[in-house]
Amino acid sequence: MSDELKSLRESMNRTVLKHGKMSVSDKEKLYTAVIQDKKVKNRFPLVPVLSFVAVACFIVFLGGYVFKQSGNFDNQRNQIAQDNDKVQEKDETTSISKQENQQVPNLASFLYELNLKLRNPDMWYQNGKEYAQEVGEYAESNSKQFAAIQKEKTIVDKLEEIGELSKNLQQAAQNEIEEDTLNLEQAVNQLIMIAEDYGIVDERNDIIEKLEYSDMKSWLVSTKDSIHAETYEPYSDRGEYEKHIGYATKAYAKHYAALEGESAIKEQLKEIAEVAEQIENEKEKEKRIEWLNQLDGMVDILLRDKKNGKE
Amino acid sequence: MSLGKVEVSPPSKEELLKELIELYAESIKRLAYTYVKNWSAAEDITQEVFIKCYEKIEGFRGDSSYKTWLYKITRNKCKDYLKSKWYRSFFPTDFMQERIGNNELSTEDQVINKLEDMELSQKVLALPTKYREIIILFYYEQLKMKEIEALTHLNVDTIKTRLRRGKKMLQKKMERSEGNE
Repeated sequence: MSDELKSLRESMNRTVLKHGKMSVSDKEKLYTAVIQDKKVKNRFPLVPVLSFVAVACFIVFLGGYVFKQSGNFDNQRNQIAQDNDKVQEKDETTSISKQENQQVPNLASFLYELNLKLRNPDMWYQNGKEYAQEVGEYAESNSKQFAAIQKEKTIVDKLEEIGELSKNLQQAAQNEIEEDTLNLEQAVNQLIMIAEDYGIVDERNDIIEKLEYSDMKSWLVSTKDSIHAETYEPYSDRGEYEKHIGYATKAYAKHYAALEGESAIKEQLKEIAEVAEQIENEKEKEKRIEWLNQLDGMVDILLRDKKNGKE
Repeated sequence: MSLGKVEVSPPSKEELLKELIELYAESIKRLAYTYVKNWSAAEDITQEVFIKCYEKIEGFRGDSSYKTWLYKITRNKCKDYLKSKWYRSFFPTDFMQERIGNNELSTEDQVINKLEDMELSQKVLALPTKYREIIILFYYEQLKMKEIEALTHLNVDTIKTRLRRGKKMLQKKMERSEGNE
């Protein structure tokens, strides 16, 4: 390897760095630009600008929709529903092992959740090295697992790269954590883009915007509002509206579960996601209402537990 | 005819800038590319490096060579760029770049693509930043350990460790791609 690297300069100049060649006129242009302190090129390429505009439009649209959905039922916010036996039984067994905690159902969920973990400033700030270890283990074990079952070579290669970068993160010294996190995050974002081409997309990407709810409690309160709302605009009928509640609640519950550090709350969120999925897929009106009532009760319990946890 | 002493005035700021651009612009652009892997960004960074150089050249104390000084500015600009929210949030980074790059390849380039040096170069660029930069500075720029130390503010032991780990990762990548062929 050392022998090969000795000719690295020639190798790179002939290949990947050959566009770096500058003619006399290029250098003159650069000199003039520096003297005039004027940018030769546009600093902001078109692609990012368009991405930004698209995201802004999406936020405005979603914000308008949420504003319509919420608001009229403040009096119902503090209502605590009757305890749900089924939920309570599960509530008693909320302690889950770390290994179970690390299992994710598919590649898209893994990438989405790993991205969330990497972008969770509170956890990095509070736990630093310990969190780096945890995220590194999570990334390494899941990347191995998915690399073993993926068929697309580009995806497998990227997963293997993520696995290696995860090892670095686990071994990182305090002053290396930031850089190792950045490297891992870059690889994860690249794989998210690659995976999209193969239709591997997490549904949470479609409906969740970071700015929509300030925290989990705001989302839970808004969910209760939606369940008890009398109108169902902009949906054509109540059934479609209720299915949408299921769809959105499932995505948000998974989203907050991925961010949650406390295992009991995480488990509750996962159960909410399961019930929400039933609502999304239930065709019979009566059964759907039963599921909705169950969801309502679970949300109350979670709100209560969150409140007690804080106290 | 006077045979008196000829006084040589020091070069002006502008003359010095011109000389530094002539000597180092190309290397700086290439060095920047090895960090950001995007030619458009590398060009912008090169310009920013020389703008800073022009601003600070009068205060340059000569503690290091101009080359090391300019490389240090380049490294800092590249790190700022990679850490910027703008880059992290929106820029399609290497993946898009790889695609654009591949689309732009001529038939001749595609042949070159198969050659070993292309493979080695791409594998070096695919290394994580901290290993890549040391490999580039040591093997591509052929800087001495002391120069890398001055430029990166890392101690020599860390540089050696990164060099060793970088080579190991590169070795693995090469073996893996050979295995796939």
